[in-house]
Amino acid sequence: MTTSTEARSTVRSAAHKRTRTAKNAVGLGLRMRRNWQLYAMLALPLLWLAIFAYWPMYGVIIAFKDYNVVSGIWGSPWAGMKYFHRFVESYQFWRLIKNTVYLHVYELVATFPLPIILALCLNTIRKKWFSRASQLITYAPHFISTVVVVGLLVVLTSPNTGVTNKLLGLFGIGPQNLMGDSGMFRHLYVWSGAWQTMGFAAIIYLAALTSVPPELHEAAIVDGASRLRRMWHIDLPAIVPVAVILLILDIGRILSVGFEKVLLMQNSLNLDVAEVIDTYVYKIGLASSVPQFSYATAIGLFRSVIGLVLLVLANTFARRFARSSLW
Amino acid sequence: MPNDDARKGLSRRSLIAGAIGLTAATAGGGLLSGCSGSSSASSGTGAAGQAAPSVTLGPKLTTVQYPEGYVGPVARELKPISSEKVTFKIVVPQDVTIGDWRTNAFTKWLEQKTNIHIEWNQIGGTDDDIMTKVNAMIAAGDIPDAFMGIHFTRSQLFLYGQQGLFTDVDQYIGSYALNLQQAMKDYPDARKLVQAPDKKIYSFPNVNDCYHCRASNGRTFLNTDWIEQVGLDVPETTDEFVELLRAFKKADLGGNGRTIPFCGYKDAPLDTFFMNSFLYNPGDPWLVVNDGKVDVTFTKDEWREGLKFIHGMYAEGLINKDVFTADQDQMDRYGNAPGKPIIGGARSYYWGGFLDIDQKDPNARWRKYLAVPPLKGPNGVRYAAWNYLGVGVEVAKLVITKKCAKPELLVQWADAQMELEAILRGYGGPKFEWAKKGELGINGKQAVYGFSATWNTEKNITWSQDNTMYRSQDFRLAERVNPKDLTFEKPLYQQTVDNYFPYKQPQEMQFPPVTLDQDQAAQEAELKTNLKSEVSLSFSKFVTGQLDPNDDGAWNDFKDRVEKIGVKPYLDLQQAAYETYNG
Amino acid sequence: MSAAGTLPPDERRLGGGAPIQDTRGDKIALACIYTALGLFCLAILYPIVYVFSASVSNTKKVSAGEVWLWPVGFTLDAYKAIFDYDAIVSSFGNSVFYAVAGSCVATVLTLLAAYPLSRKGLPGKGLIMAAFVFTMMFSGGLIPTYLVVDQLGLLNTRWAMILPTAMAVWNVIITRTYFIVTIPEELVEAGKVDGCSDFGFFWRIVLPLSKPIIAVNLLFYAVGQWNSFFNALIYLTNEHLFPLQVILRQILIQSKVDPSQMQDTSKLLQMQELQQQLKYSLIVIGMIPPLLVYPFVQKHFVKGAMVGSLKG
Repeated sequence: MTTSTEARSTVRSAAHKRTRTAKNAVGLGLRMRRNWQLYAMLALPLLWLAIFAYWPMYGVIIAFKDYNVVSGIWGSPWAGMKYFHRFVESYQFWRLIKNTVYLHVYELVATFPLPIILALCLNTIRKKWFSRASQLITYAPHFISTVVVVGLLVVLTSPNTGVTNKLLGLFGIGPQNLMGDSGMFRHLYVWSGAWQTMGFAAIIYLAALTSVPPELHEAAIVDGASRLRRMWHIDLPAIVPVAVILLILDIGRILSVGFEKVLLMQNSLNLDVAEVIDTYVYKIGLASSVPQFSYATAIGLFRSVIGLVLLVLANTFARRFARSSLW
Repeated sequence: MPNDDARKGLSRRSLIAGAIGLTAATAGGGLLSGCSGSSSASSGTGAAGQAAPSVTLGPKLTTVQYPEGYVGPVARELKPISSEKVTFKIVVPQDVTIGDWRTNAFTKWLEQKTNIHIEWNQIGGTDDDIMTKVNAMIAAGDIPDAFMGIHFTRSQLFLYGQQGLFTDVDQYIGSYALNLQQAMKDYPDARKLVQAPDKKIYSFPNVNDCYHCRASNGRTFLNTDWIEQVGLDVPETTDEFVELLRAFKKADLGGNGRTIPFCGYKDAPLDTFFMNSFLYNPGDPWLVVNDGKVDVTFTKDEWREGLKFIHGMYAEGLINKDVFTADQDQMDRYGNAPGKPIIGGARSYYWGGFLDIDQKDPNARWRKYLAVPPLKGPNGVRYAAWNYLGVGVEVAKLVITKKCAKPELLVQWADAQMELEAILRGYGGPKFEWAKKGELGINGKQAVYGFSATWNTEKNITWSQDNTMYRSQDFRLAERVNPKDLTFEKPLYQQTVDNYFPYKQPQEMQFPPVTLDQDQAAQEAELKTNLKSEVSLSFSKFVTGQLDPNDDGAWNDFKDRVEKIGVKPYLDLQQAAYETYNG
Repeated sequence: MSAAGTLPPDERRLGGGAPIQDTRGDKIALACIYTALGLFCLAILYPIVYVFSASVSNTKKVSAGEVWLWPVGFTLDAYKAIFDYDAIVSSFGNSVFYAVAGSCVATVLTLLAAYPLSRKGLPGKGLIMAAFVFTMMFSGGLIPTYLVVDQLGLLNTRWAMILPTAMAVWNVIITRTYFIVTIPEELVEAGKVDGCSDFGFFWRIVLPLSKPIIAVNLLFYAVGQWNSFFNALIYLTNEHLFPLQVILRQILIQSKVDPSQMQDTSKLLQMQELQQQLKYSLIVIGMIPPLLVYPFVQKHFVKGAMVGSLKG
């Protein structure tokens, strides 16, 4: 018995062959006219895109000018690549890149599989009340504000009274100041993030899992497949396309890391690993005597370009190997 | 008791102070133009020269008591500024305690008195959010008549003023702002502090002469009960301090091994107190002036000695392990520990920084903590980092923009807020009282006014200090002290007088608040951020022992690192700005 | 669609017989899953319970660190205090409005964009997708966006909260992926054969089958609106339009300002006391609506929605 994906893909490739030959037979203009209703549907979103996303894009010029709010974008003098040079040659440049990428990749690797596993588990368990309740509970931390989460982290890891140190004490290890330990910063950041977002992120996968026809499970049970095998062969393939897309998108954002939480978790002891691009831009941009819009925009542009390159690479890779891609 | 000397260097205590009481009364009445009536003040364009005021001040209120030699705002009748109702649009920060600016009690009172109506535009969020929004508004050309309570830096004021966005109020002060004129006479250094490098004044100056604020950056508290219990005295030297902390630890006065001899948290820097036993150190950004030359403190050998000292204390467990990572909540938990206190001392701005202040309870825990004098280091260095220039006169409280068609009216409006009753209402709310003869103020002299006990907790009645006022030192110290209701203002003041003022560094050593131009600001942004990161990082590493302050290699590496970041260009930049400030 | 389609596979009886037996391996796996989930839920419940407890505890006890799990010195003062501040109460209402209106507008736009892009053979699809994705990577920045909103006359209106961030390309992509996975090509073909237009197909067939993803979009957008403060900060100067997060932000974060910046200790004390009093109760009222909403969304995660349509 073929699985849903295989069934679907054979159907799909057959349809694909039909449309490809159909395409060759019919001209582009005709095809566009046939699909006019689809274009009509796209009209409103594209209009929105043009107004709120593309129109403001002329502002990237700010990165190439000595922008001054009073002179305005057109009145400010040109600065060329000055701010890009400044960033790349800056004392903290490599540290920032390293910290940001390291943190982002660690977070990705650690927290990417977790919502998937959670969704699969929630989907498979028998007692629905347990599943529903767990979904609700695991989704809740997303709404606890970052300030509280970091505050809780401080309490839990406090050298004098924190739970973690009590646990360590059981193993005979003296009180540690975990928040001040550069080595621990990334772990604390990533795993507290996993805890906070896992349930919320699982929602997408749960939605994807609703598309799995129950007959497939029934048939598999008849064939004697265990629960785990069913999860692997039926549920997981339903999630893979979504997961791949999310992965590609995340790779494109590799130079971004959540700003507020890092800022709150920073202290003078972990600055060498906890200073990321966003917090740096914030400090330079806003905390200085005159807001440095040009510099901040230049750094943002730098990030976008690199992100785009990686995104395109990831997409090409995915298209070839995972058959699910952005375009 | 050095009462007279207890004034900081800015005001001149001398005979003039006595005479001021007279001139203030006559300045309005007798001087010129025979305008003792309440004719519309805005029509005084005839004698527009600086010497001739176009307005007059109302008569003084006679029921108010002033102490002898009082220098500060006086109570007068406020006259309407304009005969027809005028409206101005002002952008202000939203503040939960102020509530709705429109229905605020002070707004209504002021409008009724001055006949000036304000259309309020409120911006929400933190200071940074507000600054972002304000910049966006300026970029879009969406400019109000004035900004109030927005924390523009001096450099921003200069930059936007030069470009014509902000109005130079200097041209109006002589004619329209008599209260401000008086204030600037009382505080002669004020002009230098508020004027931009082009000698113009781009915001209406504010005077808030908070005496105890001048020492706040380096203030440190110790528990006097504990000092008694271990049989020692308030320490005078660094050695005695360590002795004391060791005694605290040994006696375990907090019980169950929970004692923390000395406590800090991540936002309370240690260097502002301890380093001053080795060299004068005002704290971040660590700039000082030696013989007219701007320098930093963190590359000096004395700094290194200080590091060794603090590291020694940390290594002995005399400072809490999470001194660099604990947040305010954690600090509060230490300070407010139920039952007995567990901390022997703390580095904090004021008591509220490390525990809850219950002002009603005469035996409250905070009263046991004394703000102790700085310690004398092994080389006899003993400074209290005293803030002569950063406290007292402030800029940017009210910024009038080019869009305002009648800036002279707004100037008068701001000036009206420098009158005593307006100050009391704007700052404390409608429930204030004039002091009776014989009631004493914080400095032990005749009080002028008093507030009810709950003035601090009501909403929608004040402007939460977002506006310009003239709160001279005498004014602040003339708040009536209720012997039954002891607030923390008096002890804070007294302890600053007794324990910090005597050790203040000379005024010339303080790096003043300078103004940078756009290029300098751009350069400074990066240098300052990187230097701050490196210095903070290394400081904590040296103190916790991750880097050994005794190791020459580690110390020299640190100096190399900051050199590489750019200490020299940073100093050059600041030197240029300093010379502009003086020149 | 059979009623049986709403139950998970193993709760149905095959041919009306005995319930399905799990293999031994399965039983162990299930036990592990239940345990792990249970522990994880406890780990999450603790901070949530803590926040709730702190919000009904005596604030002095909270700042003394006496509250660990259960409330100490039970009091509803923190909640009463909220009502003392008009700003908080009205902002709550605003947040609800923005969440509802914003998510509806956004979901409509998202669906309209995602469906055509999910259809194979739409000429120019790749190009249009690229145009969408490009905007995720590049943005003009704060000032130009502000200028655009200003030029459109949206400043200081409720629309400024809804329109500038109406459509998240990320959501469009997820929705598109969902359509690709759940609407097989032969269904589209079948529709065409039946003479169904694209509009008709979308309205009558796709949408009813898309309840889960519509629910997800509504939820994500509503949550996004609920948590957001940036638009309000930048585009609004009328405090009657502020959402809850702006006030929350001011109280929770601003009072962490470096004391040396705030010259006056009386103001400092005021801010600190305010923060202590309101912190936890504000966090709780910020959390409750999303929690209340979720069960309604859960209802729509109905499995086997595809069954009947294929057979038909």
